[in-house]
Amino acid sequence: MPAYHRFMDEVAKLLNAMVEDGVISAYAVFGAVAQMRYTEAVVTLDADILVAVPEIGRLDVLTPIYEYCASRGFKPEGEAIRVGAWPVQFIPVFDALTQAALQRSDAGDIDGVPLRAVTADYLAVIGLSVGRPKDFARILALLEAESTSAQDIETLSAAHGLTAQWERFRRRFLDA
Amino acid sequence: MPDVKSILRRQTQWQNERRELSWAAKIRQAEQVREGIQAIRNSRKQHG
Repeated sequence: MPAYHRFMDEVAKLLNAMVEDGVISAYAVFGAVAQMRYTEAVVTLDADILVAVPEIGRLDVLTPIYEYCASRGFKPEGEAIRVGAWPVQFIPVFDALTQAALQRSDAGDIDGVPLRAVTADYLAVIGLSVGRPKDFARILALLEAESTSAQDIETLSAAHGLTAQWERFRRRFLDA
Repeated sequence: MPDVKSILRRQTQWQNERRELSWAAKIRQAEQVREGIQAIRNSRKQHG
């Protein structure tokens, strides 16, 4: 395998193994790493992974994930787990929007290793719901790359009670 | 005076070309930039 693929594919292999072994039910990359699937490369220090866990309602939802990773030599590093070159943050789905984003995620791959990613429209609307400047920058980048449209974002925002946030964003950044 | 419109047009074309790279290639670009940032941070820590 080419040397330049030896980093993120390690994360991909771990995630797929976690699903196979029942530690998580599903996963999808989101945040900056997912954004890069649709836009040009962006600088990011970590990889954000949306996960669904088998035991719903458990308070320490991340404990099985941390234990599984530790058993494979991947240790915690602050809020993340160091997987090779990447600090990986596992984010359990926490609302209807992230649940839907996970369910509708795309099947991508890193040089043949499967890696699921949140789609561009859900990336944008998740960004809208969080509302930091970098989230707005992400939405603009996704629109500029034509990986999603204002109409799609508007429709999805309405479905998740984010119409007001979308209207504010549109007035601020898109209206001439 | 440089032709600013021409420069911006070429920049847009270059950005579009970079967008067409594979997901893996773009991730690798990000990894290389991050390695550079971490090297700079480590260098600053060493020199105070």
